[in-house]
Amino acid sequence: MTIIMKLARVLSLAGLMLAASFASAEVVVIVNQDAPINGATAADIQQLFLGKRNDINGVSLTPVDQSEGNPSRDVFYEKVIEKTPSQLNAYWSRLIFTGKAKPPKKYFDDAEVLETVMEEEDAIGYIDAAQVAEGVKVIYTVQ
Amino acid sequence: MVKKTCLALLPLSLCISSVPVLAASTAELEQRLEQQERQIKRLENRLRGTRAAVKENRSRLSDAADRLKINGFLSAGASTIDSQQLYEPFYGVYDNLRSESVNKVGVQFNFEVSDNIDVTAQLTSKGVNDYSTEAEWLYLNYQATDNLAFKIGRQRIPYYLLSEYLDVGFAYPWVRPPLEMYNVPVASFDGVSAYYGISLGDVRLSFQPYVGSSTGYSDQLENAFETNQQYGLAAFADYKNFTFRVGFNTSHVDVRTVDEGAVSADLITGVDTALAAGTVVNGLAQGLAAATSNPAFLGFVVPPTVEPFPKNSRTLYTSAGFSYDDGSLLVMGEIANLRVEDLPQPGGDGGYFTVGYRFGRWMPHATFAKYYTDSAGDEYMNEYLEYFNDVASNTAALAPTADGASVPLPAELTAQGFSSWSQYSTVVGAGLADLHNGLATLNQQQQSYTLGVVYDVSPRVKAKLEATHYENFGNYDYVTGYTGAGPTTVSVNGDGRFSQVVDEVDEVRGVDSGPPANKDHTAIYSFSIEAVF
Repeated sequence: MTIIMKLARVLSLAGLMLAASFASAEVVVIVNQDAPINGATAADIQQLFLGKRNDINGVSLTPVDQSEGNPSRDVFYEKVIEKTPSQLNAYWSRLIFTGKAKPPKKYFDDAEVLETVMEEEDAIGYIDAAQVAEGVKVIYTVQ
Repeated sequence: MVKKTCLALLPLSLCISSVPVLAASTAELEQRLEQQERQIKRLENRLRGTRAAVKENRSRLSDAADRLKINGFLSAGASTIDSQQLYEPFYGVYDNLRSESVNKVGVQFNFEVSDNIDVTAQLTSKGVNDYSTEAEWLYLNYQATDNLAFKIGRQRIPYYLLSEYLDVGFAYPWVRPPLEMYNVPVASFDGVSAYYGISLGDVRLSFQPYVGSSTGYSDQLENAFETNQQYGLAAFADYKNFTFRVGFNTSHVDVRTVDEGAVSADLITGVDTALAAGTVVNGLAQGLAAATSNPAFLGFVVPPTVEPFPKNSRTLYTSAGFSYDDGSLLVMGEIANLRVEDLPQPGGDGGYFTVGYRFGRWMPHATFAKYYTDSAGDEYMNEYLEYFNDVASNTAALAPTADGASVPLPAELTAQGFSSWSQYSTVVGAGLADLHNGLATLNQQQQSYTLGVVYDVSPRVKAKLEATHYENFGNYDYVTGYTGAGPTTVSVNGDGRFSQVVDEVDEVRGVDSGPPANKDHTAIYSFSIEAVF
């Protein structure tokens, strides 16, 4: 490794860290890097996270959610799922109390979701864009 | 302001601080970089350690916490009806502001037994049932494939769009669903159901066939009953913001126990007495015709057009509904038809239409609902009413002639203590008038207008306030007595789906309360707090 390359690595690391601290909460939807899927529409993701289907284009996926109160969750539910917290609770109570479906499993934060998606090939989650790391791929960017 | 400037200067200072680094020798730089690389490695290792710990914790936790899920719901509030003559029997709404009609709490436990089997118990306690705890749901669910599941145990009967979460007030806009539609006196069944879902493009179809049995209680007849051989199907189609639903149910109703003094007991003995009286008066008419050689008396013979009160019957319930919810606009509507064969339990057509619109945390909504017993039910009831009227008035017509001609009373009537035909006619007339008036209220109709508002207190708590105006109860002929020419009647307003308040003190004293004096309209005012947790 030449010194220039090493230098570039350190500098780019510093740049990434800076970007992370300045970025607005841009949220991305991620899957495992080995998942045979490269993109999805908002409608696909919405149906998946509302338990209306369990695949995207035939690829079986299990949604993983974040705890209430996380900034990524607020952005994701407002922009992609298009439901207020109150509407979401009403929606799930119709399914939970009738045994028709269960809401996605909730993880603590971005890091835990990232961790889970890295490890489980069928997991799909959403995290702050700045947290994206090796081992996952972005299939949708929340506008 | 100061902070912003500092942040803006940060990259600049970084550049400045790196100037001496660039000036340093290559060897020094190399060494420093190697140090940093080692540092990164160490951090990576530590991170890996943390990840492993988190993972282990998670799997340990998932065994305990993830396998058992506890959810619950609560409604608390109060309701009052604007009438001293009528009360609402289904929820128990009276003219004093009472909480029992609204209060309820439910807790649901769901335990994952294995990857595809889970067990659910939902226990609810309602004010209207004196807060006794009941299992509305108690089942084992087997997820056979991604699209197919089977449930065995106690489940809600999917009669309506909302039937499966009827107790979860948080999930619908009203304090209570429209009485005109949500009125089948059976809620759960014990049996087996399947749930099959399939996606066709944007359309999600689901089918829910079920078979089982259940027990219920008819408020109108004040009687418990069993439904056996209950078969049904609910089918849903979801497309974008739309949901469409159809439902069918057929069951065999058996009246097994009858409470003394209940409406059903009065009906059973009443109809039997009417038939016996019919036989007596037919015998009298035929006897008089023979004794006087006057065939005109045969005109008083009443053919037995009705049968004793049946012990069982078949029901057929058909319903259809839709909802549209785009997050702001909510539109819902349902219609249903209940047919009850051979049993004077009112069956008929009901439905409602609701529109609501969300303005931030507020959602005002309006509902129109209508119910009426269908003509088949009316016809069945009217046959009884006509028979009672004919028997009573013919008895009244023949009694003076029979007494004048000194026709002896049959032995069974003298055994009951009767000494003259006139006396018998008076007693039969009073009894049949009561029976007529009781049965006539089972021909029902009403419509209602509801205005309400829902406020989102927090994501898990809503507050509701609503007023419903009920009207168009129709009217019926209330029989005050019988003469030889027929019944003497006054026209009174019907009760709709409501029940007459009975002054039990007066009843014990034998005071005749006379014709009901309720108006052709009433109103219910309600408020509630709804929560899910």
